[in-house]
Amino acid sequence: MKNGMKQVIRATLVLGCLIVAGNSALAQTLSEKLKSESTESLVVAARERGSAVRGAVLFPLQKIGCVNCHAPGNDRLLGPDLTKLGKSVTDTHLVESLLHPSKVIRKGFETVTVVTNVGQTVSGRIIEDSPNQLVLRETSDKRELVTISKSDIDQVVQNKTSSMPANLVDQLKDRGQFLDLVRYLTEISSTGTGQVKRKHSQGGGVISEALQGLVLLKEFNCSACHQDDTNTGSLTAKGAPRISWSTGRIDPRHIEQFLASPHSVKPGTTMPHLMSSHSEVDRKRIATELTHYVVSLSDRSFVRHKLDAQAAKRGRELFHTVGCVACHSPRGDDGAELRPDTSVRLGRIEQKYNVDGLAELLENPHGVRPSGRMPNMQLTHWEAIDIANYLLSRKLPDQVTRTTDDRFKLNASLAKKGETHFKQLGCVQCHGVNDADRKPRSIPLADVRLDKGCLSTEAGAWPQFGMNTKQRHLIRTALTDLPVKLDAQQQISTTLTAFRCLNCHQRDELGGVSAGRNPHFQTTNPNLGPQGRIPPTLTGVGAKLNPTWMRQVLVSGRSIRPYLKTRMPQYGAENVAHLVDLFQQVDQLPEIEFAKFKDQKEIRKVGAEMAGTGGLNCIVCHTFQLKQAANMPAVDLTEMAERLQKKWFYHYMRDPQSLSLNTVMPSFWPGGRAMRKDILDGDTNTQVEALWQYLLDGRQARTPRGLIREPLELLATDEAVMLRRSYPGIGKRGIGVGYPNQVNLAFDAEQMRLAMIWKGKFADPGGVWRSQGHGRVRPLGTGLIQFAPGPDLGDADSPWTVDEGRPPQHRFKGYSLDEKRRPKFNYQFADISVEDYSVDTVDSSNRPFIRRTLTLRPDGSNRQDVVFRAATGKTITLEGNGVFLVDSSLRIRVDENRKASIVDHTSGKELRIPLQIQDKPSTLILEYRW
Amino acid sequence: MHLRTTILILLALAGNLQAEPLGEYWGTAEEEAKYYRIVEVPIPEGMALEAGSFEILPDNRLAIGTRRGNIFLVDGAFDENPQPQFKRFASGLDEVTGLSFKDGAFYVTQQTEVSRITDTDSDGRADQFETLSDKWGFRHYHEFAFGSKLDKDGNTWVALCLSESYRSKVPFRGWCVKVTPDGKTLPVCSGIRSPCGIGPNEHGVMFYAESQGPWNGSCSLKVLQPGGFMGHPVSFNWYPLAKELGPAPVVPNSQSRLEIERKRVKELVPYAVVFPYKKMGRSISGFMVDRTGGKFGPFENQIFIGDFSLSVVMRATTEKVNGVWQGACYPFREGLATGLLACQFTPKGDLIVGGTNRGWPVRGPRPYALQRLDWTGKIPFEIKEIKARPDGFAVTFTKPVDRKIASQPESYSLTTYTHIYQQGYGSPEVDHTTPQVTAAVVSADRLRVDLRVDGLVQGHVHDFDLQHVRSAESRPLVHSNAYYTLNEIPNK
Repeated sequence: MKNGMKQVIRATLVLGCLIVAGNSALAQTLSEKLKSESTESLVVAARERGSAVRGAVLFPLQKIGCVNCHAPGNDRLLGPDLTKLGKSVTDTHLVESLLHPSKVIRKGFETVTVVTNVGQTVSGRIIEDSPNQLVLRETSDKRELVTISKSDIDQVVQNKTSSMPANLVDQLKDRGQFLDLVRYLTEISSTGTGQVKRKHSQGGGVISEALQGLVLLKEFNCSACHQDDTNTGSLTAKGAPRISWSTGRIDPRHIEQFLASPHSVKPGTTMPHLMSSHSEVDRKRIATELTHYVVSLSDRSFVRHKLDAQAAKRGRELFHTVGCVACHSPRGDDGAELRPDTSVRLGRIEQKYNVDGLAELLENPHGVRPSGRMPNMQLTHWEAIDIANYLLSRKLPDQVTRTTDDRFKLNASLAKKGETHFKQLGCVQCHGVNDADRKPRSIPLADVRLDKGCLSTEAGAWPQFGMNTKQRHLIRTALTDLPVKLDAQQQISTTLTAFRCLNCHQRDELGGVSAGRNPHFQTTNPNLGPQGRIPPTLTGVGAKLNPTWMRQVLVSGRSIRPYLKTRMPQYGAENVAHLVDLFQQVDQLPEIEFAKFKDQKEIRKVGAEMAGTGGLNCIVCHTFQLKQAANMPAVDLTEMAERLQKKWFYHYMRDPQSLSLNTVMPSFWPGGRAMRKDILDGDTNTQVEALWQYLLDGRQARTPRGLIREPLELLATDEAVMLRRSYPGIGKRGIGVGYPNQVNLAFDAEQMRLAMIWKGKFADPGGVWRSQGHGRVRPLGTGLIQFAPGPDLGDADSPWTVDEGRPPQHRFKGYSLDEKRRPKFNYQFADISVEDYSVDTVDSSNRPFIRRTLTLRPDGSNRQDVVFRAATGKTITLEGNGVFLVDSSLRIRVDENRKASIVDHTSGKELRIPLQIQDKPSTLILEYRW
Repeated sequence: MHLRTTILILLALAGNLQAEPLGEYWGTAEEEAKYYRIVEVPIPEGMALEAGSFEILPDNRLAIGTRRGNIFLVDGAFDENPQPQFKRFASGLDEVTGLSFKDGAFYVTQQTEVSRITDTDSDGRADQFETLSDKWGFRHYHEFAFGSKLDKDGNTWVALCLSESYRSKVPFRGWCVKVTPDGKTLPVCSGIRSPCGIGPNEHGVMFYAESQGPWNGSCSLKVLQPGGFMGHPVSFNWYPLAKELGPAPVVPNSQSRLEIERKRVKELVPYAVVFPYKKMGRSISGFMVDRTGGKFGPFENQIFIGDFSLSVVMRATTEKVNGVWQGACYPFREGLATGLLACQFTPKGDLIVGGTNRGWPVRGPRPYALQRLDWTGKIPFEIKEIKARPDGFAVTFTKPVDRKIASQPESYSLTTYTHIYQQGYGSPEVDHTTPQVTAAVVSADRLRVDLRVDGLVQGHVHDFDLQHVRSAESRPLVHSNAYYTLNEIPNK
């Protein structure tokens, strides 16, 4: 460790010189300056002074941008994987490539410009070149993958310049950072070769047709009528909503329309049409009667509320960021769904609910729909109201504005009829509260004929699910091809599909955020790159997370990534908790040998050093105890060990991108070799173990070196500010006062004395407001003058109390505040009650000073022997007009009639004012200027 | 010199805490949430609200006293979906750890003193700060003072922390004093180590929460018996200042047992409810009795107490047996966001909790938080209360039990232990025994089971494990553990 410290200090000194040098050549940019040096001298300097660790921290920064085009394990970006450059690439080559990117372009990373038949141009690197199409990684800022059909191409032109910007190094702060970066790149340049090739799927895949069919069987709740003997594992069926909830929350007219024609009112609904074989007239009548029945289930009546435009505005923002649009369609300015085909459609939602109803559904969806397909988005009550206002505020052209006169009037006899239909039509199969209400089941699923009944296209006495051809095909496939028993992996992927987890998360080849919805995944901090906005991969997640943590994420909404604006939804324990065991079963990592250590306390200490600025500087990117890091808010260090499995941590530390392709986390052990050879003998596993042992301390983990805390300041405004705590030179009973005119004082409420005065800013309470509060309030500002211990008032005869103790005859009585909240301190000295009142004021040249007024009220007897001690000092001189100069800085002005005197004192002089206290109140005024 | 000692002790203390892992969660949060939900009471952006005490004002506002020395008055904290408005009533005080309101005045306990604070010009801000008592010495930051709400005579009871764990350097450190409305300060009892909460138990008798440390093997709720001795003898040097209490008690022997020493030291008051370390918190804190008349669920008239380290809320019940206070504690709700210092029942019958996570290791992640526990209206299946019987215990439940299971003695397992009563810091659990439940008689309403126990041990914590018990609906208990401190076995 010691060596490491020396290096840092030396580097800092060098940096200091550079800054001085830099100032003399202000006009020159960093790239110009570096280009003016010889490559060889830069190479030597990087070897000698560059720090790979510091370079590693620079590499992921968005403003520098390396990670936009270079990522270990990713060969589909604009730039090469820098860990696989090979031994032939020297540091000389790296320096040149950084300063003159176009001088030598690596083979395979040239760019082309494609001109299409219609005259459009696209520039990029060729990622795939097949007989039919070209896939390009665009060189524009979006850097997206573009697929162009060969038949559309007119011309392909080779470009001469590199896609790497020529002046990229100007984003660095100085030459030191350049050297650090070079050193880092040298360190990693050939560490990727020879390792097991990382396998990263691009995602986007879907589960087998049979499994998709299974998801549909559950979605349509087929087993509500059919006996289900298929082995479907743990996926729960999508049950129907609790209809009694609808009363008062859903417009009865909407219910009526929906029942008469579910698929046209809400395209994509899983509610079957039960009356397709009825006549139009019967259908309407039965729908009305059913509606009366539904409305009769509660005495709530449906009232539309006035919508709040401000709330709707906030709701729109929330709707498009918290994750609603991962499944539902993003909506245009007019509220129209922009991607209806790939979305769960909301139908005529604005006609369906009132604000309270929809907000309640949004806040607690599983209360109405326990099957969890509509997840709980962890909205606060007020957010739910905002989104409800937004979704209901869409005005359709054909919408008639309804008035309150138009209220639905419940008819009991119609409701009675409705109840009969509810049972006879089979609504009860899904919506029934008791199993007993249900009819005997229809033929077992296994015996279902694939072209009859619900699966046919014909109308009949069976439910019409409004399936399309594909859906019918999938269900048929499931019924014929479904495996006898689903294995764990199949169960996982079926659940992930059914609950649309895959709309946000990728797991191996399955799912992931689609291109169309990608822009709606947003971040609070762009420095984290894609991982700052795209939900984490689920590939191998069972080997990553501890089961307890995973359960808390899935069931109790625990989250660790405050930078993701998209929230992790909740699906309900009964629906998804089974994933925890399944993930743990399926996901495995290769065995790894953990380092052994003797002394846990010692290794923990080293781990703490490593986390700090003197080590690997983890805290420059990672949050620590909710304290956000300077560069980016990466995951909190104090929650790592609770969250992660140790084996995963070991693998991840060595090669982060092998487990998480998108992460900007650099490895400090590229190729398994430690960058910091001075820590723990440079042993990789022991270093990783040290960090792990440190992280195991969780919230108790020692604060790493270099964690910067925001300063605390307590300042007077147009009123005085006070704080009763410990101040320098005062015991624990200090009372600080900051005055609007930029003067301050501290009163000692144990010894009854003015203890100190200062000018400017009032105080930093950090010493008493941080940690256990064992410190002191620190006066800010300037011109601090401290007065000697011992009370201001004393007997002329008896010896003065001058230690830190409590004077026997003094008692603090409290204080009152004037109109500017300046305190009048009250205390008792023997039988005299004292008021000590200081105000801030300014002289004719606008210089602030303190005017202090003491009012003494004797309790009966006259006192001739009281002395007020105004100051002590090495020297005190009388300047005239009652002004005394104390130690050449402080001037105290005393009323000339007071006969103040300068007397000898153990450490110099003392300014004493004798007081004769009669039966009426006596006033002593002092002015302090300094 | 003084400063250096402080730093050394601080370092030693920090090292101590570092070495010990925090206790695990009970693992019951998911189930608890069905019955008691945690409602966030939002704090204004940028406000560091380190709540140290609460009070309800006659106009239904919540008053909060903070470690940073403010008193805030809060409107709307009791609303179902709170969007509260904060107004600062007073500031600049020194760690407000006790707050009470009577006849237009706040009675405030801060580190330096008990004050009466009023707003004489009715502008919504305090302007009169009257010192009722600052009689105790205060020379070290760790000399915390915790004040009760006013008792029926208008007195504030103040528990005064020792100077450090092992010293009482200035007057009345380690004592409880009573401050009367006219500013008299009356010593109550000695022997306190490091108090946190202070207030009446469910029978109106003044108790305080003590932390694990020297002479305290584990945290406990103790009764502040006038003239009594709370267990840590270093504060005996102030008996000359409390002549009315007579001479100092006999100094207890270290490396002993409380049960043995209470026979030697007649003033020693047995610790009424021991909270076994880590199983039931690590630093128990502010507490309050549920007087909501059932609005907070089935635990009316029980004590609810927070824990600073583990960010949990627990329950406790007490009873006086053979003239000695004792009782049991029960897990209640975990997963609060910060270290809890204080709690307060609201007029609507919810429980407000708050605190800070600074200074000592805390489970809850946030530096400060104001949260509310709301009963969802569903009754959890819990052990409601355990009471001592001459031949065992009476256990009551919140819901009827499965009679068959509950009447089998093997459904109950019981261990006992005590702690070493010693000068050293804390204690392991020692002297373990395993009493046998020989009979379990279920009451007609299936809400109570009388356990006949062979092998009760006086002076021991009786640690109940009821994981096999089921409700009439075959559900297990939300929490299957409870801990009864058997200072006395009731006479027949």
